[in-house]
Amino acid sequence: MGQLVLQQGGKRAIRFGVCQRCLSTDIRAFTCHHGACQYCRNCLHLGRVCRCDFLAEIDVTTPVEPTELVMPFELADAQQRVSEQLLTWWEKRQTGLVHAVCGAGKTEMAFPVIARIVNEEKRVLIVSPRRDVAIEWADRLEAAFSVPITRRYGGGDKESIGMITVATAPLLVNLRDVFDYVLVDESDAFPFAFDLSLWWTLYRAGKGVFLFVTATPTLWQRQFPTTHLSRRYHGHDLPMPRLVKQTESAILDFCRSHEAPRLLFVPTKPDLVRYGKLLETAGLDYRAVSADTDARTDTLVWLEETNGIVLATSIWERGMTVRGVQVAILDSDHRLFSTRALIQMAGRAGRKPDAPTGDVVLFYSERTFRQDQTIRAIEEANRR
Amino acid sequence: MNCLVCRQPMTVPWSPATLLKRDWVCPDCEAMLTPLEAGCPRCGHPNPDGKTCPDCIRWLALGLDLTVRCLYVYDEAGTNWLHRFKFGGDVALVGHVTDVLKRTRESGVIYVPIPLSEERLLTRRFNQADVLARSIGPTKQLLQKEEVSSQREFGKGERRHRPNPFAVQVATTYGKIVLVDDVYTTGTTLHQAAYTLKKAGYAEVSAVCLFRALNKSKMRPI
Repeated sequence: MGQLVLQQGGKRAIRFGVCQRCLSTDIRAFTCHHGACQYCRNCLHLGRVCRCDFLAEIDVTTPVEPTELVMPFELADAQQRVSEQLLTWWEKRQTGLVHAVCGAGKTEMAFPVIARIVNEEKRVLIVSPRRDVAIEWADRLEAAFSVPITRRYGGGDKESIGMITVATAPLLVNLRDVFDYVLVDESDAFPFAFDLSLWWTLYRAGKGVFLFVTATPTLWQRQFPTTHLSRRYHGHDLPMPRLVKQTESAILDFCRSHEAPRLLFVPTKPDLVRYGKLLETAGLDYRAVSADTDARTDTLVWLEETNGIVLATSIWERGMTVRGVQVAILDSDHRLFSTRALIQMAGRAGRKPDAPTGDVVLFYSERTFRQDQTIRAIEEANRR
Repeated sequence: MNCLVCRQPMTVPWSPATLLKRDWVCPDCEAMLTPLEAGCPRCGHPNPDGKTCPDCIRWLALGLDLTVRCLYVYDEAGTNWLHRFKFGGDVALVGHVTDVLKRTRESGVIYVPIPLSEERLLTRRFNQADVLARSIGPTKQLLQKEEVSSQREFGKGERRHRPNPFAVQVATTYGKIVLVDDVYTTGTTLHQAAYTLKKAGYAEVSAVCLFRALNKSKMRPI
């Protein structure tokens, strides 16, 4: 139980062509000072491991302490039901899936079960796909719980493990059998769904009890017992996407017809430039957001305050909330826009109780099955 | 297939030879390092007129004649690249420059990497110049180096006037030699190594260097 560190007296760091720290097989041969050797290219960010290194497990957990929970607001009936379900799953030590629509208040639903687990002297981990989302989780948990929250993401604490840990996946790879309960937020998002070795490292960090929370579960996640939450916490329907034939004038019409913040999703980074030029020639002020943009939170604030236009890649498809935002998805037939991505992007609209509606437009040049699936999934969630 | 440098997925052209190549670099990363344009014939420092640069005139005045073939500009991208390679220990990155290094290969030449001292080799685990030299051609470890402090924080004067740390192993044949190093800043390392080799009896010594650091003051000879 603990963290794997380079230390004499442990086990070999690379065995059978598998890195024992990150479980990847991206092993390269090179010449070490003593001769032929191998190193792992996948976890270079944690310091290189070589075949001639040894990994030992050290205990990094802090002493157990109980916690008090102050709920930020009363849970609605539907949220209460899910929350009780989570408690029964925990009593049975069962892995489960919460299939909740975007903006259902997933964070707060998990608070009672987290409080229960911590008071049973067990450790909780919350994994999120991106750093911004992890920061938001940590801030909300800090406000509600009296125990300190360990922040294990870029720029956080990487040396110890408290009762509640918020982390991004790449920094968990050197942990082993630490967490009794692992809440995987947005579990179908980038790291887990695409990198099997990352999932195995997460599996190794936990002790077998997981909770997947997502609006768009994968087929694999549907095997677990599921609880649905198809209503947003303010009780309004999800905004239905409209399909509009994509022309330059249609895009500009969309931008001009709304006063509220407008968020335009594009599939790739070159598209940011292409559509940026279109908006510029039409005399509209905009900002672009991609994975390379450093000031993403600044742009979020700017969007909300000035009712501006933001062009974003799928980096903003999850975990961001802007009051009264109008969403357009350009090139929605692009192959990078999966059904799950489209559902998530459509779910950016109408997330606040004082602005529960919003315009969602799928611009298309070709109709695809993915667009139909998106509309059907949102219809189904509204019916339930 | 993922790019060797940025590790993003990329498409590769298909041919039977595709199966034989392991390291692919995407076009963005390929354009990351800046190749040196024509410049000083002796050290490759970019010159507008293509004459020997003041640096090299100074080395020639000391009686040290060594032609160094430099390949890339040591700019910000080059620094980051070398940092990943040398201090991050990502040895596989050498696949990014192998093709360019291979083009400098001559027949009947022995490539001699600039050595690391014993202590440095134990902490870094590998000799970056040795990795580069192996990717060019046949190598032989002729030189030995005693421990000197890192030159990273040194200015020009301190770099230039340090005592020669190199010693040469006993030679059997005196063939043509090409020294290999990663960065050419003032050239002290390469010139000292070449001086040692020449004194030991090697007549023909030249050098290949991956990066050439640019002189910040263009006018003043260093």
